[in-house]
Amino acid sequence: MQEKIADYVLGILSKEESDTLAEHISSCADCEQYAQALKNENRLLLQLGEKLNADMTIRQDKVIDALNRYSPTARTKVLSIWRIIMKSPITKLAAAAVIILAILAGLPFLNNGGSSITLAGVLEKVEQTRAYMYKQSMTITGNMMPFAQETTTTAIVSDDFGIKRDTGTTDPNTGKITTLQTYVLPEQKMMVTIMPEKKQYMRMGLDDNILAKMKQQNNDPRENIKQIMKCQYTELGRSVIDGVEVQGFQTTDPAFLSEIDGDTTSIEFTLWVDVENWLPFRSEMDIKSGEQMHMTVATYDYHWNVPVQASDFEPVIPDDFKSFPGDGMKMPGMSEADALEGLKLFAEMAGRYPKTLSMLELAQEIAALHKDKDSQYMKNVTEKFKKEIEEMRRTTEMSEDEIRDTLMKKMMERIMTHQSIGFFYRTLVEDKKEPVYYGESVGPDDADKVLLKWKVSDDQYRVIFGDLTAEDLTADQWKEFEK
Amino acid sequence: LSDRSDKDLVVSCLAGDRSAYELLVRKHYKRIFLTCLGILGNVHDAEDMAQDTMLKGYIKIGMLRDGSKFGPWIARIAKSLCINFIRRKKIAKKVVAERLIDANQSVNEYDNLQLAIEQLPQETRDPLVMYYFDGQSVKKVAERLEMSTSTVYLKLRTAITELHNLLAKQGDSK
Repeated sequence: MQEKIADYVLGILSKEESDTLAEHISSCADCEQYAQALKNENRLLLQLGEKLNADMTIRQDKVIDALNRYSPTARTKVLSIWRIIMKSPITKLAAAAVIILAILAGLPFLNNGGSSITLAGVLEKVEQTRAYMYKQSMTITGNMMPFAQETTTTAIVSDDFGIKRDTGTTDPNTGKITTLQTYVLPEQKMMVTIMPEKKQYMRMGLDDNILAKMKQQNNDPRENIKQIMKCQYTELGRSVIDGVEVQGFQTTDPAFLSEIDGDTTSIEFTLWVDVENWLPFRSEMDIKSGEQMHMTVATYDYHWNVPVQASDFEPVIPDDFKSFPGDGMKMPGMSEADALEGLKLFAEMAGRYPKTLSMLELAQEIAALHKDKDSQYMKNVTEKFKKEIEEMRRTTEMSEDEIRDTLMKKMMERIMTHQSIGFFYRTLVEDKKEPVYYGESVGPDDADKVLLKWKVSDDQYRVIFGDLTAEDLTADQWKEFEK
Repeated sequence: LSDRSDKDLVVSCLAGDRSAYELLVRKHYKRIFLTCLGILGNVHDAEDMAQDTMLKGYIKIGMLRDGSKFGPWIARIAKSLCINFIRRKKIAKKVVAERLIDANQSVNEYDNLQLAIEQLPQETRDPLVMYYFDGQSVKKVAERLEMSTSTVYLKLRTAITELHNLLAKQGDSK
């Protein structure tokens, strides 16, 4: 009967049941008392509900108070965008991209090469190969990289089809390995990156300039051999590695990394050549750049002249993989115009030009700027992106997710654009145009000062001024200017 | 309350607009507070946990991929904080029991009622909080708790009869 009375109080009973029960209650003292008590408690519950709701605004005010105490506005403003930048996977990819770009641009980080044997003889042998495979282990530590990491790569390189790399990165904390498949496809002028664990992929356009550079040097042992031949090197004589008789060559000449001119950077590159076939057998590289970066790379397990077919270089992207926000982005260009655009964007945000244009040091500077959320650079980037969000919201029909993705892409493009400056500078160095850069002392307001100068021919110089205007000067005009 | 969608507000938050998060607090606080109350049964603890939840949401908002899911996301934070809180205070029930026995200090009938609510098992308390304090229909409660309406009625009936027994006991102990 008590349950029935509870249902009665809750108003669950049908009219008929309810009437019948009311009739009984009116004639039964115990039931009437119980029903009365439940009704009273029901009323109290509703009143308590009202009371709790009436105090809700006060509680919310307390929370907002606590929020304000927790974090002042200014800090939050910078922090949140900074957080997107630093915590988002795209930034890690962007940081990884810096390395990939450096590699693609021909820094002989990942290359290998192989001579009484003479180095020229090895080069000749290597140049006869059309496709080869190798394995590589790389460890990068130091302040520059937010993600000290160890990677192991299996690469297959074909003169006809492109490059395919399978890289596993080990998380130093968890030991977990994440894989990254990268295809460089000259035909399609594209680089495709697939992240199987994340079920994501990203395609990046490569312009003719970069492709030409890559064809010429990328990941190609012949470049390392050419490079070591240009340097002062020591012959290490014969040795045996893994039961194979090898001959070694070693250089510690900073010229090996042509564009690294800082005296803080040291390099040791050792190449072991198989005396049987005069082909590279193993190489080791150790680059140290102050406290900023320490990288060791071992390349081994070469297979020369492996049979390859077009299908080995066709990226397989399962249907359920999603494109990364950065998908479809272009690789930074390396023309003068690209570099000027990069310098302009850099100065807009940082209020100054990069300190140096050598690629590695520029990458370090960019990484450091992004790490420091209180820097003028990050404050300006934050402000700019905030405006862009508002603009997109006002003028487009984009969903918030799309806006967020667009924002991410813009951030990554910005980082890429900065890299253009380094690419361009590097081409100037490689083409022996003797570039000289004065970014440390010349700023955006110095329209009358030379920011960057290089030799176009024996009698002609190209000059970029602090305000980013460019001019061609004859040697005589330059001498005049120097005065 | 703001007309702006959660998605919109979350994007603004990420762009550094703290006032957008304040609007999210205004929109979602009540639900979070009542969720905490449903789990913890105690208004003061629920207030503390709801506040912690909102602060944690603020700190972690960068991890929320889809702003339109702010509601369920913040509710998950609330539940996990409450569960941790209960783990930390395994003695909670004992404390409540002691407070009930010391019923002389009860100031008014609401206090007694709140103490009794705290005594209810969570599965009975959740529908009670939603029905009486959040003013939701039985149908809505059933949807949210993923149970049939008749189960909700059954639980509400259990809740008020149990409350009556607990309050009667309190009366006896006075």
